Amino acid sequence: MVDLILTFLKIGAFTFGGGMVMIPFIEQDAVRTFGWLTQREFVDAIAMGQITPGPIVISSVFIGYKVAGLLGAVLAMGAISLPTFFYSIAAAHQLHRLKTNLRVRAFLRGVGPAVVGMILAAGVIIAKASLVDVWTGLLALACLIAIVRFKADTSLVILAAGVVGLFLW
Amino acid sequence: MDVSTKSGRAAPVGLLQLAGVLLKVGATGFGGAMPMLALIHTEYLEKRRWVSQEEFDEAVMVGQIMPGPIAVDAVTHMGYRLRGWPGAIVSWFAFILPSFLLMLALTLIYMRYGGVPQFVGLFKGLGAGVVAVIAAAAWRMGRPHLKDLRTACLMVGALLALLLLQANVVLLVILAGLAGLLLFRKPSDFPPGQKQGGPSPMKGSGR
Repeated sequence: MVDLILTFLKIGAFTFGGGMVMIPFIEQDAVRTFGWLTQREFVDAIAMGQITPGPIVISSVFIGYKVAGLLGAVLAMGAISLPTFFYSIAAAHQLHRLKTNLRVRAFLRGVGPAVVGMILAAGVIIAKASLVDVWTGLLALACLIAIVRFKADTSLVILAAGVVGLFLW
Repeated sequence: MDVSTKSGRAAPVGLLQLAGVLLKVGATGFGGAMPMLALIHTEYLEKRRWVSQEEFDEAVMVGQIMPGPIAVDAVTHMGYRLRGWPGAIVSWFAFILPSFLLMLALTLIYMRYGGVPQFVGLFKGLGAGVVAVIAAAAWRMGRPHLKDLRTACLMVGALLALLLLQANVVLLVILAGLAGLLLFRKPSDFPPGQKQGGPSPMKGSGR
């Protein structure tokens, strides 16, 4: 339980760049280090987080619940969102400095691309677990084209992929 | 009470109103931070004039700079500026609550029926969809970084470090930030609009 809270506080505190960045963090800690859930469950949790409204972090509810039931779900969600809360308030007091400080911007300019690399790495790991044959590969490709080329809504695309899967397998 | 002209704004935003709007956005905002921010823009700015365009842009910037989900950052930040600590707490809580409850319901269903053979196909399909969403996000976020050799190297470096060396993610973030401090020293290293585009692109520094 303490591990759960500390891990999610840490993830909340270091995920520069938005919700997607949490995926490599959660993968490393929750799946590999602590083994709270399998790779399979991890992908399902992300999928469910995507088809529900709200931020992607919501997937942590699943992990929290699996580790420690309802209390775990509340604690995981609270812990991952708490740093955000204080950061946003601190930012209100430092707004001008944040806007103009070159060192802050240089730091973030370094973090930005690294975080994309990390998301890609998590994507590769998840792809290895999820794309098990030609058909799943083609389905993923079709989804990618729908999102990038035709600007389709991501939650709809995931849902559609699920329905296709339901009929195909 | 006559409080209508504090800093030229109408009466302060009611906490219940704030909660109501965010419960709605939290329950209907599909598809990640940017679509949600577009909804919030409609509610806060176009319908109610709670914040100015500049304040909204600043909130989006805070969301992008600060760790954590962008929309949660932005909403809490605006809540704080509108109504202080109570505004921040109400905003943060009301925004997260609907998706928390929905996710909890899905989790319970999954725990109960996730192993049912009929649903194997469903989750196989969902998994393929997740891979596509992650790839699309990486493409959208990564494209601007490909233009500069330094950022492109940082991107590939982080990818390989995580994939081949299983490097620690927190350590990687800190190292990349330090590398940024070393690599980007001139103002020309910061092209305008380097941030990922939001529903309202940042304008030049206001003051």
